[in-house]
Amino acid sequence: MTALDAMSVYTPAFRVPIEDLADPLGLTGMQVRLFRRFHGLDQVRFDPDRSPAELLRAAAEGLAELRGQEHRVRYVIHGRAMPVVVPYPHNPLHDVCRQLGLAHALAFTVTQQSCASGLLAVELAGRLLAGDQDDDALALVLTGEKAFTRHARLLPGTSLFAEGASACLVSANGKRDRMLSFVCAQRGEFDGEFGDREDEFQRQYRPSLAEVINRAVADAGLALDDIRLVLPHNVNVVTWQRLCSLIGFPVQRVLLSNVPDNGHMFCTDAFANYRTARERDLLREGDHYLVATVGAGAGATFSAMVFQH
Amino acid sequence: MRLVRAGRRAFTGNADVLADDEHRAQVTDYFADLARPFGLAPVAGLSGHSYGEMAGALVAEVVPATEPVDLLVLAFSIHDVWPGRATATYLSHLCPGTPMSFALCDQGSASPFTGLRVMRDYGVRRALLVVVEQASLPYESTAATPLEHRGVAMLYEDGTGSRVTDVRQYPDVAPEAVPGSALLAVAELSAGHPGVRVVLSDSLAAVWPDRPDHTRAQAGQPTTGVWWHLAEAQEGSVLVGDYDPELRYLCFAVVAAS
Amino acid sequence: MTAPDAQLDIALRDRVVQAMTTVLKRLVEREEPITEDMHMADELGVSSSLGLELLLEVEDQLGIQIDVERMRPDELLTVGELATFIAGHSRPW
Repeated sequence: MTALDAMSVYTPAFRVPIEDLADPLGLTGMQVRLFRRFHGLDQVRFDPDRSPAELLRAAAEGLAELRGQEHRVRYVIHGRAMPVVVPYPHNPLHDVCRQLGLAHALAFTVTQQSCASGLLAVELAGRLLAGDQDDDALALVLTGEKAFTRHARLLPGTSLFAEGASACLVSANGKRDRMLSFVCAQRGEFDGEFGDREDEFQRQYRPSLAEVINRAVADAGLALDDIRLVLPHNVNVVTWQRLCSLIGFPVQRVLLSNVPDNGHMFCTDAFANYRTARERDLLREGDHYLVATVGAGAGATFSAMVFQH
Repeated sequence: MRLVRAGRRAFTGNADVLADDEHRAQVTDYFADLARPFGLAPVAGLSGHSYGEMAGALVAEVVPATEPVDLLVLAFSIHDVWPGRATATYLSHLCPGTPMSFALCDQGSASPFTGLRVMRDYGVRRALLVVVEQASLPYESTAATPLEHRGVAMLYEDGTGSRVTDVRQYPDVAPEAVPGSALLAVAELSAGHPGVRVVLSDSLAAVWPDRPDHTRAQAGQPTTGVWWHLAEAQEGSVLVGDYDPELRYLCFAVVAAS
Repeated sequence: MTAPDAQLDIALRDRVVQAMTTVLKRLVEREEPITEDMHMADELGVSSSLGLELLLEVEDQLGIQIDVERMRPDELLTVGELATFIAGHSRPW
């Protein structure tokens, strides 16, 4: 069973109040107020001094469990929301692998599921490890990207992107944080090709998210009430409040504090929320928790994963 | 996992979407922001193709409505002219079966092989691998770009039978070490496939002096090259081999066509 | 169906309706009257983001804070339904 053996999260110290992003992003005062009031945003983290490679490296260098185990890492999978982040043929992922002593691994990026690409990376890591003859093999899942262009700074009416990174060691047979289920539903009909379907998308958002959550919980052989904690994507506080009333789940069990603290860190939210949950001792051994994310921005991917701690 | 159908196409001209002024403006900004930190100036006149259009056409050609797909992998190395698009998610909607779909990239010519491996490890009923490359870059670059916009789509089906698709990948192989590993891989993979036809990429042949009899994929199409030939195969087994000299991946796959 | 709160403040509700119609007329650029039975999305073309603006502006105008967390947007489709919700789920600043 796919398991998260160790994790490191890098969150930059530099934060910008959302009001200061209004001018650069051309947001009206009303739009900023909406972000604050309904989306729960407050400050957004950035790292002006780090390149894409350096962001990934910052997370990996914080992963103490990797040191001395590099030879066991056979796969390095970067889950990324923005499909293209550097000019071709630059390759930050491979640069970082070489620096970390991981040139012997198969390294690649999975993308085009927007912010759900991070969970996909964990799922694929598990699949590759399960198919690998070597029982000791590990995979390193990396997330982290720059808010380098408007498309990667603002999700209109939904969120503001922040910078951060994570590094996670995945095994096929670890003893804790084991993945019990993964459900992914894609709604490519909201792609830009089909025109502005934003309102329709907003209407379908919560039911679609509820559906993957319910399916992931059922596939794990559990009931919703068995879920001790939900680690959401940090896009939007009110969506989660309303989702909880839709599915009958207590919002107190959804970890939402990183929305005002960080902003929306692309694919890194789930991992950042996991770290916060551990820091606050919110998970006891045996507890079940659910990670859910929606990759949006024209064409949507709804994903949910259930773990046992 | 057997190859049941394949399609291949060369595309000319530019993506339809570039005719839209608003889209052009957004994409121009995206590329300018992308290239600026590297000191690369934009080229005048945005041109090139979009993988949504290319792959969309291939999906329509290769997947009938009666054969729903469970998993779709879009493999690319050079990016296209709609860089912010979740193209794989769009393809999920176009493809019968609404398969779980994603793009696999940043791995040079190894990405289609990794795609095959993921598809094999997933063990689904039907999986579609789409390999694409387009020829234009919107910023100054010394990188070699493909000669033509090309795409190959391959529909694989899990079924009974002894002939299976198998993959071997070797990371971090120096050019001088290629012949040793390549010989071993070809021997292993062809063992279950008597009479297998070998297709090698130009870049692999260049570093393998003692290569066996083979069909040479055309130079100048680094990502689709060997798959272009595989797509022709009507029956029998084909062993494709590729080497990415920058990223140092040596990859082989033996594919049984049905 | 959200249970109606006991002792709905009718005076507040009237003020809410008035504020809503004023704001809506400006947001959707409409000159004709707006009545309580009108469907905000279908008849008035209120998008989800305009809907949020409407709430903020009503809060501003009336000096109240609406309990947005409890909103079930699928049940608050007409002007009147939303007004009833606001009147029953808000408190003064």
